[in-house]
Amino acid sequence: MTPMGGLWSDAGRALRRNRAATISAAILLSLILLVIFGPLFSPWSYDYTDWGEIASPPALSNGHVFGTDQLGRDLFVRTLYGGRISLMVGLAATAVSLLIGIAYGATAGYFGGRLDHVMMRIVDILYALPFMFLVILLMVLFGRNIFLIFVAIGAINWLDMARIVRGQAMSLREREFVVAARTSGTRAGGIIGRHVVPNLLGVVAVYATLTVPQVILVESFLSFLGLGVAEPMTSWGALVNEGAQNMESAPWMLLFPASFLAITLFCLNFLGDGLRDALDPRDRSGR
Amino acid sequence: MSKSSGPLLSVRDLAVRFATPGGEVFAVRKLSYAVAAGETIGIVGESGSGKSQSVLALMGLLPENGHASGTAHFEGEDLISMPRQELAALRGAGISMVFQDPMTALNPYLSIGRQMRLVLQRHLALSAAEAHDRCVQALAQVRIPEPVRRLKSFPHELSGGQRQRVMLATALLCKPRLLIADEPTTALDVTVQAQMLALMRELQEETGTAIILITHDLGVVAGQCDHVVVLEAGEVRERSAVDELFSRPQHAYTQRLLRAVPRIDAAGPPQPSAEEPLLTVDSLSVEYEVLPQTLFGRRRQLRAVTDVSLELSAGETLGVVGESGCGKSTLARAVLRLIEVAGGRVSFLGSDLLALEGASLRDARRELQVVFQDPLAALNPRMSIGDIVGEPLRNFSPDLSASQREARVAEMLTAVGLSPADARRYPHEFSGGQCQRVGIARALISRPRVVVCDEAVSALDVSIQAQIIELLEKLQREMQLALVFIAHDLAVVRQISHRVLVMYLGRAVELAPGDQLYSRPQHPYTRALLSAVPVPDPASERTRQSITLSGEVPSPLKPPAGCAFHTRCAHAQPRCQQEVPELRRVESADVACHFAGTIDAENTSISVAG
Repeated sequence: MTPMGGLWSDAGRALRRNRAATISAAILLSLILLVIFGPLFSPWSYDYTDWGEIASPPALSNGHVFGTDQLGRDLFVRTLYGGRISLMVGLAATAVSLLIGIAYGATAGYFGGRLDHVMMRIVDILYALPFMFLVILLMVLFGRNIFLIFVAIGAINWLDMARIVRGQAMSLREREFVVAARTSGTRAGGIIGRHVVPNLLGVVAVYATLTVPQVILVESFLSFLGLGVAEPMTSWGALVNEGAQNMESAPWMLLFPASFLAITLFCLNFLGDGLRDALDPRDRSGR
Repeated sequence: MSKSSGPLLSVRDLAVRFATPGGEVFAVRKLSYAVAAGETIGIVGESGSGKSQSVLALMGLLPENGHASGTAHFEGEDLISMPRQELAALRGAGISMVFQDPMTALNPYLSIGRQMRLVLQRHLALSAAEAHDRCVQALAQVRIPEPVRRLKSFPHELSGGQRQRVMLATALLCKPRLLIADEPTTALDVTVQAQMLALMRELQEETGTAIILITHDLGVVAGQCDHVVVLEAGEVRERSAVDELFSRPQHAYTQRLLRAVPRIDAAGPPQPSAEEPLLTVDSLSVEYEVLPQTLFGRRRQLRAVTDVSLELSAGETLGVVGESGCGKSTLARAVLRLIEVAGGRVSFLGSDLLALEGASLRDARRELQVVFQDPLAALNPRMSIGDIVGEPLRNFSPDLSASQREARVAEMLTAVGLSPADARRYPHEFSGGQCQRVGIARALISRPRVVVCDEAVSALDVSIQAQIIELLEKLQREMQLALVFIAHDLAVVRQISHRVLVMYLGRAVELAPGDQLYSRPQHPYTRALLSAVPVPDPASERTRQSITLSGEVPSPLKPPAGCAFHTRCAHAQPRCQQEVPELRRVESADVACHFAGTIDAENTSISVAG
């Protein structure tokens, strides 16, 4: 049994005992399955225009359960397609920023000194790059591509994560159990992996759940500027944006994508809180 | 003000209970006592005994889920049933309080004067000038030099002892009839504690204030109190006059507590047979770089340890004592290669420890282990006890299989008095004493030759302290361990150490066998340190003439020239201000004092008993 294995299996058990987190995880999982497989069962594709049903409200009779938009496209299919993009961008960009941010920040914070100086100045320089400029530059160089959005968002988000993690790692470095690990002959990699990182996961989990919605919103902002996903492909952000413009004439166009987005964010928050508690043995007992 | 007949405060059947998710918990049950004007009553107990809660209840300062019942008549009025507003008016004016940690009890954003004036404004309608004068007077009363200038200072600019004086001055501003002091000297060094306790006695004689002194230290009780209440787990175990308590303790708990208290006047352990030294430290120095205060300021060097030499043999315990900031922990960490060394040599079993790098350093660490002060902070909260204790094995004996490792961990846990089943549990599920056992198990599982105990028992209650020391002594005998025992408590060091090193401002001032050091201390600082330790014996506390050191330890950034101790030494001569004294042999001690051996030892009245 390795220490990390022990930590994760104990945390997993604790997480399963946390009802809010379990339900959230179940909802998220079914949402993911729905956006992947849902479109297969729909008679319409995301860009098909149903000329007979322009901007029609939700109805079971005509098969458009979520209604259609101004161009007569089925909102149910579009919401699921949008979910694919938004969840992919949100989760992938967050995962990237978690991986780079934790590794980078923990290394800089634990070693400190000159290495920390150099690493953090690099972060400062990247911070100083204007985000929009970076995105436009990438678009010009490589053409419009959804993966460029991942790259651009990931390249910005890990900076925050790295700073947060570094601060935590710096204070953990001074803790007696880290000194004890050094006298126990643990190598630097082991100390970062077993002692530093597990003790900052609580903060990271909370920050990550805040990052996912932030990333989804950034993507919708890019789409709004015409830099994100290209029509007729869509995302939740783009759908919400469209819906907001037609809020008065066709409220369902806002209602459905917005509630999918909201449910996802709620579930991520509960899951993040649950994960934070589950990773901390002090909160684990008595639950 | 107070009625001449009857006590100032009489507490009857006080109970404090807390509503917790797990049901109601009693912190204090059926506590009764009385305090008369000019009297000091001590409330003694270990952590969790409810001693602090019992007085917070009187002040109406219990947390939200706390509830007090019973009566507490202060000048005829019941504090427990008193409406909140009236009680708030009484706090600070009639009854005031001094807390343990003067740094957290003072607001870091307000100047001392501002904080003191706030108290005056709340209770007395004084003009600004009058209030200022009152504050100056109060600071002068607690012997703070330059009180007018000090009023403008902020808490961080004062030393720990001065901050506690400010707290005391603030508490006494409105001339309260009752002062509650909750562990007022626990966070202070012994010499500063002695100053503080003497000050409290003097002020009590001047003002006739009654004092409730809450402490875990029976030595402090012996010197300060008239009556004592002993609490254990919220129950009164014994209530008697101080002489009675120490000479004829009635309750088994009190007897146990008194037996567990390490005494500075007890005999030390028998000397081990002399052997070849295991570890040799030769004129070791450690420097810290202090970052400049301003953007273009100069970086300054802080010498934390200067030219310290020592030897350590197998089976031997070397005690290292000194006040906070004297460099004792830095010395230990430098020897363990946890911090960089500025100069000197450390050899372990003949090899140069300072030259080792990488893998060979890791190999050496197997033989050199450490036990830390804060038992809980030294254990990773996210790892199980089994993983924590097994970690050195994973690193030092990577060829052990998982089941072999588990067996070794189980064996070690049993050796330190825990159960093998505890390996599955996490640190927060254990008490401080148990966590320290885990820390010891981790240090010993790789079968080291040298173990450094860095204030390893300082954070523990006396009875637990005694158990841990017993455990260390047992393991030392079994494994022929060489121990470096760092502590600020001279009595604890006495109990376990064969030889003792006294440090002051980064330098060794005296290194001597335990019996010699405690019976015939040679250096003036050692003498002052020894005489400042309170002894749990009221009779000897009263007659003992202590050498009270004036002032506090100077800043290590600006150490005094010559002998670092000359600024506080009663025997200082002009020579001491220029020449740094070398360690030289006087009787069987090595002493760094120009006048060692010529200063007579008449004013140290500590004798070896038993």
